Amino acid sequence: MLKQNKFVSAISIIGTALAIMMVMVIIVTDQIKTNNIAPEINRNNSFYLKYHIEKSKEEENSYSSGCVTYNVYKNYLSDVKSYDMATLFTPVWSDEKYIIHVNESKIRRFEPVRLCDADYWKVMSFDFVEGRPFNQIEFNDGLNNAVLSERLAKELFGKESALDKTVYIFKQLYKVIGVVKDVSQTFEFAYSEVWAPYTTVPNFEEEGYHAIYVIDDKDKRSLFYEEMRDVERKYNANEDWNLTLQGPYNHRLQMGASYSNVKPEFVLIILKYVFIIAILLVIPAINLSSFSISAVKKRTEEIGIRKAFGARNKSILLQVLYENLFTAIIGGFIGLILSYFTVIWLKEWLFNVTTGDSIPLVAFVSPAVFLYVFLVCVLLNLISSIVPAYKASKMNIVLSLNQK
Amino acid sequence: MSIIKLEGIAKIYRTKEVETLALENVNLEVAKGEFISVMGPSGCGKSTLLNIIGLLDEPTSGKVCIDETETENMKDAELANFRNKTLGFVFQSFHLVNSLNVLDNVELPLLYRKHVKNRTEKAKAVLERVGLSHRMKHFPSQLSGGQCQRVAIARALIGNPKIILADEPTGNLDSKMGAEIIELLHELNNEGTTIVMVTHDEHIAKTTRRIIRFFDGRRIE
Ligand SMILES: Nc1ncnc2c1ncn2[C@@H]1O[C@H](COP(=O)(O)OP(=O)(O)OP(=O)(O)O)[C@@H](O)[C@H]1O
Ligand SMILES: [Mg+2]
Repeated sequence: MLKQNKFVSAISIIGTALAIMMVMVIIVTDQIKTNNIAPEINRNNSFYLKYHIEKSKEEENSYSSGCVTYNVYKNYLSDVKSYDMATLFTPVWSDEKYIIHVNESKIRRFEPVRLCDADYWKVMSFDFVEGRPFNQIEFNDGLNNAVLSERLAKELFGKESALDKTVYIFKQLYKVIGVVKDVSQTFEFAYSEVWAPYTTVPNFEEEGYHAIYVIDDKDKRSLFYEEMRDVERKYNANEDWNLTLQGPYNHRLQMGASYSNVKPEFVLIILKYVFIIAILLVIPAINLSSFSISAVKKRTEEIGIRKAFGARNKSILLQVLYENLFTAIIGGFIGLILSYFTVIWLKEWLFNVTTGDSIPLVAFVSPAVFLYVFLVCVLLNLISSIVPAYKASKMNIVLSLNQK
Repeated sequence: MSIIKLEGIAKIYRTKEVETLALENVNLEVAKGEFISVMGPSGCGKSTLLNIIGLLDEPTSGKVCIDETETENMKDAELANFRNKTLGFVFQSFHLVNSLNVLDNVELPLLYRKHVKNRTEKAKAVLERVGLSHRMKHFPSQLSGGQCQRVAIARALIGNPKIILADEPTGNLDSKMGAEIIELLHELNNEGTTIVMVTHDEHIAKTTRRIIRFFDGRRIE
């Protein structure tokens, strides 16, 4: 092994670590947003119908867009059959929280509440600390059952078990039937502090909803999409408005569909990622390559010796790349660790969550992430040392031997 | 049959300002098992000649035939392979890899050979041969000049080359250590290795069977 100058190695490891850190922040953030991570364990098979647009048939520019209405769900989406599981639930609005309290006099607080159906608990996978979710019968009967987050249960009831206790949600009395481990706000569809059946709310027909369809079988998906287009046709035939469903989108696409009237572009989303990662890699790679040039220069004599005794140009090229890869990988794993702290530090900005929220650690230690780190290291190494390595391999032997 | 055959070799170094004619129409044949000395004043082209024989550099014109092989159109990989198998080098300034210990330096040529077993054993054996088996874990900076040159000879030896090219192998050594090195080279020659050595020392040159002399890029004897 060619031994590198310690200072140069240290600098290039730090440089690599910072570069990898930036890239990994992006990749890990993306992983957290897109991978199957409990409670959202069906992301890869899920199709999301968050919004739709209704355009007036009479007036040209009159339209409304927003969450899926109960009318569309009840009377039209009910025709859709090609899926394995489906759930209807309300979004959790950060600005429209419900008043929760234990009884008239005690603690009152504003907490986010999610209204959902019984299958919500099948599509998601929550970790129940105690109790259970509500079932289909209870949902149909409109029983006032609620599930709380562990944090909220502790704040309301202290060390006592929350099970069978009652809470007021807005103005109704609910029985606590389950407590789940806290869910990070990074989970757009799973996060809440309180979950209740939407059938318990008096005006639930006027709420706005999201729907998730889980389809395991790939072949079913085209049929599913056709059924969705049939929904639009049937609606347009029956109603005064023309309906355009925003989706259903797969998980990655729905992330881009943050506005109810904007259609996400898959290619654009990917291009944006590629562009950002390329910039984040190329700039440090150019800097690092000057280090690897100087490291190679210091070893010119050695390269000459190796060639005199039978090293091919290719072996020199590979050796320089291989050795730089070694520092790149050390840097890469330092970068991964740094990226963890960066994600924690920047989480409010990266994920739109509030302080105190936890980040699922699995996103940092999955095999996929290690593979990404490795690939990014290889890429960074290739960009930064291919030119110096090539030059080193092509040097005239006599000149390199006599260079001091 | 000669193991080294040079025909009409010329070497011109071109830089921006000047053109140097380092070798001019050199013809040379060296028979298998010969030990020859190359002599001449500084700058007359001795090292250039040795580098061309060693396939470290290409002549500007002329033919180089080593071990009955035309080297003119060889590609990089073939040349590297050929150097590895057929040639061993000993340089005036040793050219050991400073970051490697003695054993690793000696093993180096075997790294570029496929299917070599017991590299370390082989390296130990040649180090024994040059009388340095007690210095295997030392680094070049911890050795005397004579010891360094013996490591270099061990490295040249390890691959069993047919030809050893030595460019002033005693140039950086005192006369006693120099004599030891020459002794070693003679032993190798007696075992059948062809040796071409550049030297400034008439006494040393006289110990070899043949002396060829250069002046200003031309062979004069
Ligand atoms: N890379 C080079 N570029 C330009 N000129 C060179 C180069 N290498 C050698 N020369 C010139 O070629 C001539 C022959 O050089 P060479 O090194 O072969 O001489 P030498 O006989 O080995 O001398 P010495 O006894 O001092 O080692 C010299 O005039 C030298 O200046
Ligand atoms: Mg010379």
